[in-house]
Amino acid sequence: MLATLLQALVSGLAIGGVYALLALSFSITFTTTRTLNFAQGEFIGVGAFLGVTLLYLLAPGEGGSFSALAPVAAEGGRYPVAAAAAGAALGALGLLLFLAAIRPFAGKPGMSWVMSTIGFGIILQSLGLAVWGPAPVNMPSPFGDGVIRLGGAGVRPQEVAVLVVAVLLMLALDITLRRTRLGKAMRAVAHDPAVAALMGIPVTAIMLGAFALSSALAGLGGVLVAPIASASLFMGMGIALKAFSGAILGGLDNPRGCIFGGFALGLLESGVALWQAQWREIAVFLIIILVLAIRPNGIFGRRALDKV
Amino acid sequence: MRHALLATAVAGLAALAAAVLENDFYLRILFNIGIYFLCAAGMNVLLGFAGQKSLGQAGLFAAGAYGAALLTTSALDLGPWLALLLAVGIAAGCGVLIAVPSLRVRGPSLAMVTLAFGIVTEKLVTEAEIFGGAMGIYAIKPLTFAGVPLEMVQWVWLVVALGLGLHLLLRNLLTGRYGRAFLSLQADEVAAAAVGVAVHRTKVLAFVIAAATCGLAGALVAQQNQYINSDFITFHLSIFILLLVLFGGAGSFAGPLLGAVTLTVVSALVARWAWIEHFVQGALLLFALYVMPKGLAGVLGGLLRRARGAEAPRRAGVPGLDAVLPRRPDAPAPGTSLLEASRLNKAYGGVRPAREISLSLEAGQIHALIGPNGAGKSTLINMLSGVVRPDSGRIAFRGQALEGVAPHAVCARGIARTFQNLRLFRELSVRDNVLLGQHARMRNGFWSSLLGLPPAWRAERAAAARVEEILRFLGLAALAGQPAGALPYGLQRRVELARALATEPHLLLLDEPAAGLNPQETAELGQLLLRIRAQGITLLLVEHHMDLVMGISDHVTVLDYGAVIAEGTPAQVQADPRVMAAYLGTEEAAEAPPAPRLAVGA
Amino acid sequence: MLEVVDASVAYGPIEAVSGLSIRVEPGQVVAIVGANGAGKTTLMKAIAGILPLAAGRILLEGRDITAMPAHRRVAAGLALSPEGRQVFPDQSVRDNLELGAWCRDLRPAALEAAIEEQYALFPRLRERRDQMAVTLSGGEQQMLAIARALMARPRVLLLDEPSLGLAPLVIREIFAIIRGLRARGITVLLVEQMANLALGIADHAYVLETGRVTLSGSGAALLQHPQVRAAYLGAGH
Repeated sequence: MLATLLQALVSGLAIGGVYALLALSFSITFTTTRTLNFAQGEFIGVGAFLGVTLLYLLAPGEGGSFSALAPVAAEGGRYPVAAAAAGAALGALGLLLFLAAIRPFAGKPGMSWVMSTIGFGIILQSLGLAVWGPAPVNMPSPFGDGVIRLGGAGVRPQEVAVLVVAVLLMLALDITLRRTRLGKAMRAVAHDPAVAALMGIPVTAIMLGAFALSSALAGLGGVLVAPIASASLFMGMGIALKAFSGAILGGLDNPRGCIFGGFALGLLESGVALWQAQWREIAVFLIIILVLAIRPNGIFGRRALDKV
Repeated sequence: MRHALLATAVAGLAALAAAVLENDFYLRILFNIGIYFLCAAGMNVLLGFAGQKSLGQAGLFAAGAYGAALLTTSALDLGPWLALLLAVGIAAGCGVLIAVPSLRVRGPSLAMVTLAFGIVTEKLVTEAEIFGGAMGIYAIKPLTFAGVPLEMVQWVWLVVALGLGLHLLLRNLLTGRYGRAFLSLQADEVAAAAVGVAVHRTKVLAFVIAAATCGLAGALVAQQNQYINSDFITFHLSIFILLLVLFGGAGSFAGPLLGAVTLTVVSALVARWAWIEHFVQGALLLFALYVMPKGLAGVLGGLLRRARGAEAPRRAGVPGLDAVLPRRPDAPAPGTSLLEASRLNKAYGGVRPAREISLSLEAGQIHALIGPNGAGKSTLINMLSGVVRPDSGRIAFRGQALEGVAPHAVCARGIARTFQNLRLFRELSVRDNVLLGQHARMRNGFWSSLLGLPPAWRAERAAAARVEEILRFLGLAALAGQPAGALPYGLQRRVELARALATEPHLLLLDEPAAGLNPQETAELGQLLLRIRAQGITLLLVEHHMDLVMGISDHVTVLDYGAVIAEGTPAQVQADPRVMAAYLGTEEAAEAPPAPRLAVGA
Repeated sequence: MLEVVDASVAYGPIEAVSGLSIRVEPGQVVAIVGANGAGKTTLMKAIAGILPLAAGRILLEGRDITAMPAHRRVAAGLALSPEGRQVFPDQSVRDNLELGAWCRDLRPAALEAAIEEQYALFPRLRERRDQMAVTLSGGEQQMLAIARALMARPRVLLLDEPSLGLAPLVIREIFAIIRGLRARGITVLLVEQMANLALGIADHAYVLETGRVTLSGSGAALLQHPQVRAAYLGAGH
């Protein structure tokens, strides 16, 4: 019993780390531009496939076929290279997203940017399907497929790695946001773009940066999760949705709240899965809706005031 | 009437085409057009009129489809027609379910909640045993006619008939009181509530209409196929339903049909490759957003208008001095007390825009509220109109407590207001803006409006007549057909006044009615306010134009730092040294009263 | 130093400022007074570049900056302390000051020196340097807003309604600070509702009514002018 609980705790923390990272990615663009990427799920899927493709290309011959890469393909520093490259590529895609789908619509009534980012995502996904096909692909973990025994619980090393990487990244981002000049400028833009411009801060450049960073996190998230689940162009939607739920649970405009919300959601999900795996999603979303009914701006969110 | 004939002719042509066509493939395309039209027509109410984005309509489609499936195949073993009806009811119930978050959550979070609803439904029907998962549910009873299952051509006729019926019913509903109420939600919820629209109830209604039609479409698909599985229920279906409306033209009566025809045909052409179908869908979505924000209907409508091309008047006419404003029967007698506010307090963090404010308004007078920037004048107006809830204190209007009453209910009691930063429904015509003021005074209910029954016509006609009279009173009659947002600023202010008067108020709250007006317009406004008082309406105005305030007010209250510092007749207030100090910052006077300190510690 | 020529600014259909011209000479404190809604804040936003001009030009030291985006104007020498203070509430006093110097791109040591300069001018801010700006009192927030604008080393400091929402004693303190700025030779353009206070320290002043200049002259002369009073309290007085 205890072992099962421990196991649920570890996998909850691991997936929660991914949710938290992506929740933070939503928060980064929302606070700076009041918009976010509804295609983040597609970005995650494409990030994962880019990662697989890079591993395949980096290990010619010895890595096996594309759809079933051998574990050796992820070794020798290839995995981190693939992860970084996927992050960078998706970051560049984020710039395109901002220019094509956000900037023409941001700040205008009707929230057309919701639809335009969805449209962007659908196009991206369909192109991905054309290139890689619909079948899921296995991505080897650099730490192999073995299971570590931890007080009776079987823990996969990739899960631990995901948790560690996510936590390190979030720490770095938190410090960046709070301590560096750039982070302070981002928070200034978040508070009010016009006042930030009065400081001489180039607001558009900051917004572009926010989207690049947010998209890069999605790409990285895809590469991190793929070895646990397996890469698929459809894997991202559920992850992004839960990450977003975590974000609104913690409060979209509060980065630390988002991190909390992401972990809470991961733990909640693995907790419910202990009891009834098939009700996992439904239970999670019901709880979110309940929380929102009580606190529409999340647990740590600021109350938005309508100025009359 | 012409519209009904045209719609019937289009439906007749479609039915005729179905009768002539032999090919099952083409019949199926016609059937799909009908199905998607049903989805789009309801979605148009939600998206095009009420302005609410739902990204989870596939879930409601599923509710109808699986409802019909389970009701006919399970132990219940209901007949197909009854099952169809109940399935629509189930979907409508689910519509209430997704409407509930929309009452609390806004913006991107709401969009994401509806999206989650669609995804959760998809998971549910894939994984839960009762829905048969990817295997699906077989042997769903098809609809029958005289005991015989319908043939393909009859299915087409059925959806055409249903589509025509739905279109005509929705047109009844949307051209009247309810249509205007939906549009007001899309434009500005705060203003909608201020003119008496019950925002929550109206929003739920829009969700339910969209849910019911999607459910109907789902049930029909399940019954026609006699089979349903989880492959039908995808995120792409939700987006497709949204796209039908966006591409066809949100908020237009022709939009859903244009969208359903074009997109069904395009999809049929590219359906052979899944990824191309999705690519086209995404590309069309972006195309619609970039190039035709009002959809195909907007493009076609623009062409028609250019062909006609008429120049609209931009100036107000002469006010009809003999015009009489509509009033409620129970008008208070002049000189009696109308509103008593006592010891109102409000704080936002460290700022306290209201501290221990007491105010008493006498019926039949013009009261003015003045004070420097940030003195708390707008906050007081907001508290009196129910937009902001005071932290403490009492408000009694005609002896009844008003604190905690929702804005639309405050309006129903007889308090109307205008806004400092103009909150007109800009896209709507002047007439529709003012008709919205009549919303809460009209008594025609949902069913009578939907079915176009005589009580609904009568109520619409009576309201229209009252609105004409109000427009005449203000000299706006010549501008009635123009979009309110296209008028010059001074006239927009007057339209907002007309809208407030249409609620037939006892008390009219005006938040800076002369802001942005030139001296000439300000003088005209003064005359107008005096005429409104002469009709027996009490006014409370917040204003900075002192010539106006001192010229027309019976009684002036001065606020500073959220507290009342002086009140009396205009002459008394003008002579008060404390008022001088508040406005001009005279140094010696600044020390005279023990001025409350505003969030200044240290 | 700063010149606005025939400027008009519109919010949609409303022209809040129309055909307005003002001049600010080096070393002067120039005040713009007028009742609420006269277009004062709109003018300041247009000069700072966060509202576009519908017509007219803005010249800074003879150079046309009409088309320059707001963030570049700061580097060119215009810094605005906006209406309502608008300090960044969730950042510390020190970080607010640091952001004010964004355009100067200072090395850490130079940045600390620049911040120290402001602490010398506003000792209260030194006491509060690690507090979040939201926890400051209104008067302290106003000091922070002015100090933050000064961090950019502007040629012209724009002050929009520094008295807004402050208690009389605090207002006096703020005006003493503005006098101090003038003594140090800083050019100031001041928008203020409190006419007597503003005119009392202005070398030159303009009275605004419905987006137009109706009077101009030395502060002392306008202080005596009956029309100033009328602009606020109505002509009947």
